Amino acid sequence: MRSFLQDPKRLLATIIAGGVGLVVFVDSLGSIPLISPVATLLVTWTATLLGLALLIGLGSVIGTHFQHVASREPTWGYSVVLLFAMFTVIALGIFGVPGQAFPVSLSEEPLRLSFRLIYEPLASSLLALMAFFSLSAILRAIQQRRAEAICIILVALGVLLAQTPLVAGLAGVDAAVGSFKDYVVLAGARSILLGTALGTMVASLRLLLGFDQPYLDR
Amino acid sequence: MALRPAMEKFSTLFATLYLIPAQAILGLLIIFMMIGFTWLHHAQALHGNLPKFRPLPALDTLRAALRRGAETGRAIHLSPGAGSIGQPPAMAQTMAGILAAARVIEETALKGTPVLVTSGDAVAHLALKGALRQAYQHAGQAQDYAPASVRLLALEAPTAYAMGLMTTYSPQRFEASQIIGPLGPEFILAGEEAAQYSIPQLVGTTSVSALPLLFLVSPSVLIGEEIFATEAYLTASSTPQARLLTQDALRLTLSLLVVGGLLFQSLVALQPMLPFTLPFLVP
Repeated sequence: MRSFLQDPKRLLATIIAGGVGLVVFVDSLGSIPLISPVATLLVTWTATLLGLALLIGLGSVIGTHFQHVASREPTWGYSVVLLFAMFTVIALGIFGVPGQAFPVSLSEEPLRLSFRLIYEPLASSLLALMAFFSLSAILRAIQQRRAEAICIILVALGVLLAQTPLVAGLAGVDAAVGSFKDYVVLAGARSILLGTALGTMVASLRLLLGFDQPYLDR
Repeated sequence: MALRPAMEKFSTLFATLYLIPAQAILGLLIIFMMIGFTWLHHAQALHGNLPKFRPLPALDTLRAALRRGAETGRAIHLSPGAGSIGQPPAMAQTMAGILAAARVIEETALKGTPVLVTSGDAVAHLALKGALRQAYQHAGQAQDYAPASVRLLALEAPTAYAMGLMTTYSPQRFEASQIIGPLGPEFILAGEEAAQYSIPQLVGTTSVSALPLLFLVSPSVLIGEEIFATEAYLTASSTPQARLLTQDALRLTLSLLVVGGLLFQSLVALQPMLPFTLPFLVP
């Protein structure tokens, strides 16, 4: 593969991507009179492109589920429900409801009502199932005798027991749990966060400098 | 006489630097160090001068599935999770998941193994569609590219994504499932569903609230920064290898700073008990 310095198409794309990223990055450090308007304009363009990406994704979802219905796949009924719900919410957002103010965001009626009455109860119910799914996963992990999983289960059981009134009232339990959280748990969480931050910084810097070009064909 | 203007310029520069806050100078030094590492490791990777990386046993699940998939014809499921590229906290993880999925897609396109790619973000959906199309074109199998293999299950809704993933697992058998990206506790719903169908899973995230649950549903878990290293382990290309080298160098530098700082603080605390005075601790 040629170096991107010898390829005008790749070089131009790299300069544009790196330049745009650098402008937005510098603007995020502090407001600079010459750079702020340019950065704001670039971010606005990005938001517009994200909206277009959403439309394309929407088209993909509609196409997939129409195909499920047309080919009468076993789950075609669910696809009908999905398409009906999708078009209903879209219609509510575009046309509003007669007699009510036109919604300009998802947090306004009647869109907010549809989410409050339908999506939120469903999501809460499904999240309530997490306890049972976790129990099922714990039983399977014990049957498979996986060391890491058993270690996690034992620690979770210990913390659970330590919170019961009988055990929490014992001398030293509170301090022991606090020390465990403040030193062991916090140290582990911080190490993961530091590693994540380093990975993010390196990936971002390589993108800005043009070493990584995921926006181009390989 | 020629030195005088240069010295005046240097004095002006020094005075200007003196006015810049110490934190800003330290930040700039760190950025320049990172840029230096990036250049150095990119050159090192291009010349093939790479160290031997430690093995990641979690990836063995995926490698075995890739070998089997070509024979069984069962699809491999790939996903960068429910994160969004437009949201900074999850962006890097989503990118890592997309890059890892893209490398697997390249291999499956060459072997003729079917894939099903799902995502919870419109931009990630487009990126994965592009990666799938490119992979089939490069493999000379452009006619096998099926846009319906890339599905958008939800948009910025992790719970809805998890539910969509559950329904994806039920109708067909998968050879394996790779999900690398920003995952939350709700992933237990989809992960346990896959485990009940005995689908081998490779999962990875940096979320400390989700990691314990991932270990319950799969023995193949990538913890934290390992998700950024996954691409380097899936390909012999120099770019991800260089990225991994830079991450390792920065991690080593940070570790040395932490240990050095700990030793220094310990000496400061112990100074009153020592019978002698350490010169570098005297203010």
